[in-house]
Amino acid sequence: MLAVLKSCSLLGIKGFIIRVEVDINRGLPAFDIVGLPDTAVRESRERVKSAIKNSGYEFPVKRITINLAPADIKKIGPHFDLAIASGILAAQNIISVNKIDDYLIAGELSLNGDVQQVKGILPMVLTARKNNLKGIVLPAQNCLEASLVENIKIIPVKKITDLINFFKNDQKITTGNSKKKKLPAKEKLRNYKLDFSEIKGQYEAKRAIEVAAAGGHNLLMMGPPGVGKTMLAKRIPTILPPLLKKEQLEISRIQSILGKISLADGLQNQRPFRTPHHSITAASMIGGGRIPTPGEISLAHKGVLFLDEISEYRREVLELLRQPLEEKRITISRSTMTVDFPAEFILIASSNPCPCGYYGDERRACHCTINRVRRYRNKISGPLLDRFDIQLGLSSLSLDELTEYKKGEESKFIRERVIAAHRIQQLRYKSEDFINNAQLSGENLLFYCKLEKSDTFLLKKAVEELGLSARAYDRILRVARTISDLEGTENIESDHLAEAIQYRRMEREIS
Amino acid sequence: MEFKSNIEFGRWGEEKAKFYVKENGYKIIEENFRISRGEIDLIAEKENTIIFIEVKTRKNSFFGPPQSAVNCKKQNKIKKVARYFLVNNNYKDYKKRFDVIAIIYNKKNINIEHYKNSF
Repeated sequence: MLAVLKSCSLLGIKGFIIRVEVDINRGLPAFDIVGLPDTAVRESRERVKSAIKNSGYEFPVKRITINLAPADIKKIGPHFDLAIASGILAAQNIISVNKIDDYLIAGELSLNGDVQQVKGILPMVLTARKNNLKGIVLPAQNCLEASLVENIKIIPVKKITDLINFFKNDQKITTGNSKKKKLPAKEKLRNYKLDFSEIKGQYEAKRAIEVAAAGGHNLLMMGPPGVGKTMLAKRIPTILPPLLKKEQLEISRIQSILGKISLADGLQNQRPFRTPHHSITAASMIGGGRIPTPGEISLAHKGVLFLDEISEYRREVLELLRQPLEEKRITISRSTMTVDFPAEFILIASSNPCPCGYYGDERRACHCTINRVRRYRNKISGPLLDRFDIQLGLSSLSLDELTEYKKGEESKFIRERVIAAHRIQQLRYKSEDFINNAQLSGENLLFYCKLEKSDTFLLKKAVEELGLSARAYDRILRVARTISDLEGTENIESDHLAEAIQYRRMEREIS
Repeated sequence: MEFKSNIEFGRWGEEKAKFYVKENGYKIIEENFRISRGEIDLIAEKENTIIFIEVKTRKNSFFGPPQSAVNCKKQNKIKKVARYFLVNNNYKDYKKRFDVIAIIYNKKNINIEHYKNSF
């Protein structure tokens, strides 16, 4: 009386098939789970026992051995409950073993036989599809995120008896959720209270933010307190382009692992905007833990990571950002496993120019000694500063500008331009594996960012005079590419290049 | 049948088990082999094998079947006693085995189950 069926385990955001082998033998009653089960998996013994009993079936008083294969990978999470319970039922011929073999089964059980929501359903559904399985049996509450994946049969179950009925007589499950909930085809109307029109003046900053949003460039804003750095940053989500279907799937995948998708809230159709506090630890920034979970940078995937007062963050935390900023992903190694999380985000940071905050301000004097200013600025290390494509200095508004009653440009107009630039990039890179200018590198950079001879000379001179690095050279080209996309020109022109060069001003200031 | 106490009921079960194994061609070597550490209900011999048998009798299975009461603690106890027995008796060339005989008696019928090589 052996039953073999399939469940899934997760490693980072990737899932792989786990064979759940259930053997029921005559002998002293026992219930053993082998195959490196974690605590939650081992505890499933009690849940499965009670759930089967309370669903009106008899729990066999026999020797039950369960093997989770391959046996060398640690099995984590309570989602094996349903597969183990089904296996026990299948081994007693209550469910047909042949039928169940084509489905992937995941779900947590409660003692009364209800199937509970689990984390990480989305990667599991994708795994099921990749392995050409017929369908996946999952908790009804997880139905919504599973419906993101097409071309696979989804069988939502509310109770363990639903599953039994389905496999017994191929009954259609009528849990009410079996109909796929239609996703909002179009993005819901954005209902932001925030709008760029609220910001007076700061035209240069708004322009820089537009460029950053259009090309996915990192942005550093430096200026005295109260000039509106945070205010500007908070309004960035209002101009970000809509998510592509593929991108939404990627974001949902990360949220699925963390169990952040609920039926009530629906799926996220906006780009994430993460604002971690500066007391954040290294592990929560890049992700970590004994069983690695994604951190803030992965949660900001395809969106914005905003670090307000970047000099207040722990230095070691900031330096950790260097590698993901280049690679667009993070590899977390722990003794038990090594996992990869995507981390393609726009880094937006703000900072004061010095400890007192008024260095270089026109209206107030700075009290800091030059050494204090240096020490303060050194918190953002050279390599990190180098990774900011756009370094922006903000100055306080003049009294006239402040009292003037004139609204700025509304977010929706800026957003239109950003979307247009995005579309140009998508078209241009449709045969590539990246989608925006910020990811241009090496060969591609040469190919897509051709310069006129005179412009090459200009750039050469800028690099020489400003002492820019090779990376800065690349980054200037990328920003110039975005500016010309915003303008809608085919090639990079000299004023685009000039604008891109002047965005790297920090490297010129005190040294 | 009525029993005065559970001990008497257990004795009765052991008696039944003895007949059962005899019928099945086992030779009883020892009954209620007791030392300070514990007791083995039956020690039998068949086909060059020494079999240590624990007999468990119950009137119903409201608290699980009788065989589930032979838990790890009880098993270890039996193993220890068995070791003592083997040290003091020469059964060097014999194979060894532990069995459980579970008996449910509920006025009308007796149900005997024999679990061979169970731990």
